[in-house]
Amino acid sequence: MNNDNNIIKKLKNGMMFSCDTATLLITKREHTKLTILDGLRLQMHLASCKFCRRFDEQSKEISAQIKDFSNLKSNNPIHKLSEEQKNNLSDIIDSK
Amino acid sequence: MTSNKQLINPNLWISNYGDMLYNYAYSRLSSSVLAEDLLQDTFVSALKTKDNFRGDSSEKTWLFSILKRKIIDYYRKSSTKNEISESNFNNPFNKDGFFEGHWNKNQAPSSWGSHTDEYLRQSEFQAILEMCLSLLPEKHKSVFILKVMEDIETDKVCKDLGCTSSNIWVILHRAKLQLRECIEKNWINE
Repeated sequence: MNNDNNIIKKLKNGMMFSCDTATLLITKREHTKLTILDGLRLQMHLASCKFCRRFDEQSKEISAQIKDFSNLKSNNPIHKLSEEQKNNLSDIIDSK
Repeated sequence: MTSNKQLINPNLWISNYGDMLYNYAYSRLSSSVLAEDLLQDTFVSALKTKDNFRGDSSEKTWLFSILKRKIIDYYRKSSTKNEISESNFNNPFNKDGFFEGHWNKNQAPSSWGSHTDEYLRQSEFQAILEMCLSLLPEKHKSVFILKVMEDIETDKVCKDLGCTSSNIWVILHRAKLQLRECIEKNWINE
């Protein structure tokens, strides 16, 4: 029985990643090319794991929103300098 | 040759670019005091080097590039001071058992709902994202901002922040896991 478990575990680890590894590769894939083997194993994992598919989608959304972050705000800044801060900065520029 | 050269006018910097630069710094530093400090440094550096400004880019682009460098410098200094502590990372994967390394049931991703009002959703999302970003440990935040926000090359980020080309992915991975969970917890699902 114990032996069977070991075989199942070995098979499982050899063929499929854990979610921990799969999500690491999802992050890595956004910035660099995966090896062919890693890419295939990730596809296999995603095909059978609902949670990692969700993570993949949400991860893409986070990255896209992060990239929008400054562009969106530079046209209509959320954070603005107070009058006091503006005066401080003007003093520094004037003193040089 | 000289007709297209851009001119520099320090007296108009605050009124023309002040809010834009401040906002740029604030969204990357999550602190008004730090943002103001780095803006000061930026203007001081700009005034010192203004004679070298060749006018190839606009005044705005030039000021932004100085500020960007200041932000990277800030993160380089702060991330060497703060090593990552394992204890405050709440790992969402099972630590042992048959499902070792698989999502822990309570922390697995839930659905983020439908995209009904795209604009409202985006502004809400950005506010939560900004808050969650400010809660990340310094080292995670610095790698995340330089790599994901600024899209700086991996080798360069590693050189600046003192990580290796393999542990940068682990750091980014953890930053992403924490951000995702924080967003989900604070997301108001209608």
